[in-house]
Amino acid sequence: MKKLMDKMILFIISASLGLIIMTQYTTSQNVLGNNTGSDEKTSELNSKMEKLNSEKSNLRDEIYRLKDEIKANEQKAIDRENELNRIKEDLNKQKILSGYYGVKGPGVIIKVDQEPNSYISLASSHQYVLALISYLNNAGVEAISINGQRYTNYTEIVPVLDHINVNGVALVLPLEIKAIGNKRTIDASLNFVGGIVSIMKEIGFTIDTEYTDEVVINSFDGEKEFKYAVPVDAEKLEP
Amino acid sequence: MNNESKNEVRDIKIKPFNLLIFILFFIATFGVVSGVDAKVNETTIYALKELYKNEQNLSDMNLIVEKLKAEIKYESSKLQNIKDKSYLEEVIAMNKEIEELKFYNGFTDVRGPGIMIRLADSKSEDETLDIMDKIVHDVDITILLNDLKSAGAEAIDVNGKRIINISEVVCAGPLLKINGESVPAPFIIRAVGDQEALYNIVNDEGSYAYKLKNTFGMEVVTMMSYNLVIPKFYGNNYEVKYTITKD
Repeated sequence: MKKLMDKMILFIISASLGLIIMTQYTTSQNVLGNNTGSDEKTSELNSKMEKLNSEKSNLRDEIYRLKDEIKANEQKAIDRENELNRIKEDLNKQKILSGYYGVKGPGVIIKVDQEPNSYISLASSHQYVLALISYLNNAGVEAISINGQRYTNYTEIVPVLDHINVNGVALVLPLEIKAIGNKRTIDASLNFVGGIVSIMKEIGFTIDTEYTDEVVINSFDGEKEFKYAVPVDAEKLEP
Repeated sequence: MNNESKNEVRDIKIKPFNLLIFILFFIATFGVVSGVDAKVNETTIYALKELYKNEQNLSDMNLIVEKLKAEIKYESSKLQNIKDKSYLEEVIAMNKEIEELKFYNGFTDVRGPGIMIRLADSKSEDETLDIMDKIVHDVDITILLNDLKSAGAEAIDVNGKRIINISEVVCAGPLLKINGESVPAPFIIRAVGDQEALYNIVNDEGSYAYKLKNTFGMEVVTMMSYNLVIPKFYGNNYEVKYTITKD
């Protein structure tokens, strides 16, 4: 009986010991994994960290490179922007010259009429209007209109009966000629002694000039069809 | 008593089986004790956990950076593509418009059929004519140019100076000033357009040129040509300083 008791105690102790050992084993397995020594693990992790660090610095270099690239692109974009602006300016210049766009700027408004109680045939004195335009151009004006008719590259002033046709539109006195340009230059070009204004006044016109900071000039809305002229590349013509 | 004690002594006499059990117990207990102290104390566990965490963090960060890098690359290349495309298209469209306007405005050399007029001061010996009437004046040229325009001239030049809407023809002493440059007589006016119409506007009875020729005795010679080349307006540096578009 006593012997059986001893054996029972022995068995219980052995079983609990075995349980404890297994628990310990599994616990340490869970914590350490396959790594038996923490020194090994630390060195392994250190090497991994080093690797990651070098990778990180590589990435940083890459980002710097990208940033530089973006910077270079930005410079490129700025250059392009400047080039675009230059072209736009050129386009704007040609648009203004063409007369197909309404424009404004400082300049002069000239009212041409006849003296009261006198009669002037506008048709037979259309050359004075032409001369007036020529002298406005001499002052470097950039846009001209006659009674709202824009003076374009192909505008003709045709005497018809008693009036004149400008851009095919019949105009009679009084005429209102608008021009955009330097006001002082315009004044000097028109009003010198023996100049166009004094000549016109001599033959019975009244000229009333008003210089203002904003002259608004309409666009030309006609069409010009080219049948004969073709553009040529001048360089090809050189011998 | 002696026997009893002898019996007891015999009882606790070390048997090989008991020794074996003792040794096994000793080893097991040693295992338990050393297992508890198997260099896995609290700090080690925390350190390990920390390390794992760091490792995880690093790899996460790595992933994120990698992703960001790819994204940046993709975005920048995409942006570049868009930029390139629109820039080129815009430039091409604007240049096309500029070329058309330049042709219209007389900033392009042109070629075509038309007429040439040579205009020189009068050699008439008619003494009733005033000396001033014998000279070619700026207004004579201006009227002639206007006549040519009304006959549909598409490009005109006077002594190589292209006449456009901002060209002036004004008197400058014995010379004329055209496009800011001095031009001497004789004046060669060339116009591209319908040859018949241009010829007639100069030579028809009652035309201004007819009057110059037949009343004032000026030299007006007209010639048709099938291929005239009219130079462009030399004002590439021409700047619009005062005018802005209305809208």
